[in-house]
Amino acid sequence: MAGDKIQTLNFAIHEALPAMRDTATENPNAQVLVRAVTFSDGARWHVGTPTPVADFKWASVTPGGVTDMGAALTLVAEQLKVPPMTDRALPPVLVLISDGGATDDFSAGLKALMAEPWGKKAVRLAIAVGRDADHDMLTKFIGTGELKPLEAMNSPALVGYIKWASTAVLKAASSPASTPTVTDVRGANVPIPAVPQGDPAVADVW
Amino acid sequence: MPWFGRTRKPQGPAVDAWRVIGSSVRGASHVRGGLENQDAVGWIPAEGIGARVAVSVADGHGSPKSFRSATGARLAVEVSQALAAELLTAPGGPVELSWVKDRLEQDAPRRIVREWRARVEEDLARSPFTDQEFARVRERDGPKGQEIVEKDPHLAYGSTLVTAVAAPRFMAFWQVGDGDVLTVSAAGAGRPLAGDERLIANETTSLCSADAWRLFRVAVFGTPAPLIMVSTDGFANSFRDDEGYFRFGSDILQMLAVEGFDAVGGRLTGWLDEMTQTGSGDDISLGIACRPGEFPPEEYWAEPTTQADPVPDGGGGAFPPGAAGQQDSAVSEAEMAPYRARSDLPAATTVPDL
Repeated sequence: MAGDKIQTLNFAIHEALPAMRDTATENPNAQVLVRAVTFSDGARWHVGTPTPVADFKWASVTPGGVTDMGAALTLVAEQLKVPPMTDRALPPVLVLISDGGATDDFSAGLKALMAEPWGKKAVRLAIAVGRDADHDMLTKFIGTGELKPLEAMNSPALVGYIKWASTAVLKAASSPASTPTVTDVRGANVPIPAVPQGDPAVADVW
Repeated sequence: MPWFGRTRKPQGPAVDAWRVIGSSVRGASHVRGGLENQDAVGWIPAEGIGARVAVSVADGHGSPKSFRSATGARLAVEVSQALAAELLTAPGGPVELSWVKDRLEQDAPRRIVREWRARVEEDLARSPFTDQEFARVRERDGPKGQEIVEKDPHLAYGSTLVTAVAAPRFMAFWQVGDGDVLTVSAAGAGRPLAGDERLIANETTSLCSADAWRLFRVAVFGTPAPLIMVSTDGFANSFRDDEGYFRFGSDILQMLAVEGFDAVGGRLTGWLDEMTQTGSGDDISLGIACRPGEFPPEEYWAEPTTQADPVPDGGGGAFPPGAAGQQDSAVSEAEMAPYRARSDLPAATTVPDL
């Protein structure tokens, strides 16, 4: 991801954390744990330990390398196995943020993710940063349904989407209502809150 | 005051009688969200004492489209209890294990689903859906949500169901959807029904599912455990892991044996209230059937239990203080043999595709 986008991403996550903690505090019956993967030349855990949101600290990431998105999905898939996951967990929220197209085997990574029950039942969101993001890949990651990749064409939009994912979506996923199994639906049955609309007065710069 | 336990003199029910207690509490998250308790619990005989008993719990779905699920859960318990009553009174003499097994595997799930759907339709005929109900569905799920419910009104009443029946010479279980059955003996606790991989996240199989009778899990065992617990998923979800859930069962067995039935029954609702607040936040229903005549002798529990309340996830003390006393018990292994877990119990079965 290019330098200015990465800077905005770092800023957005720092900005979102207080609201994310507040959201978690509102629901004492759910324990919110956070971790993060970065991917460029390969993929690695940026925050490897599932960390209570109250203790979560974001160390800024830096730009560079290619876009090994498939490796990132494989890495996440490994941690969605049962165990280490429990079958009694709340649905995980996976947010994929990218400004390009995968430079490795994206399909293999997605296949590994969707082979795990928690991969299938995770709330999967994607934020396409700038015009070079691969919408087809991000759409495949989200799966079928009405939700599409969120397009962040400027800094305020990226900040807004990250805040939305880490608060409104987190809240919905933390107290989901039980619902009958629908086998032809790929995602978790968590109602997705209304997506924030960008400010039309802010020009697209990415 | 009635009593049960092997070393005390019975003044109430016969020592081989089953006792049943249960409770259902509104979930902490339901309180915060202004929702009703969508669970139900029920048992027969109503007085909770008998040579043959049955206890059921049901968990109405919280999805906006299942806006009458509290009624659906109540109907599920009623229908299941009616079937249990039939199973516990076989025509022409004592109930035989093979007869119960046949009934469970041949037609019980289909009858339960058929009768639940009929009861739902009766309720709907008496009280058709209102504009207000549909307005709430549209608000949460859009016009498509209303269309889905109009196409299949049973969805509005969607519920899970878990039932245990216990008699002198057998115990049987049936379940559709999430929730748990736990059997407990002095040797420990375990789930008598096979797991269901379809139950993950907030999704569950349901009485309102298409071909719901195929989704039942059933099991029959020839030797009843001294303690059986049935619960909606909010109960087990309040424990950090299965170990804590199983320990609760063992601790309840000890409390029942040492302190007596009324001591546990009188505190059950308070425990569940605390559990939903500090645990799952979901509605919780719990039914307990026990046969005091099969409890280990009182001296088996070397250390007296305490009055501590349950704290499922290590938030301030054990409930009660574990089973450490078992290691120091003066009772011989031979004396305890009848209470050890049986390894020859048949595996749980799913409903055959008829």
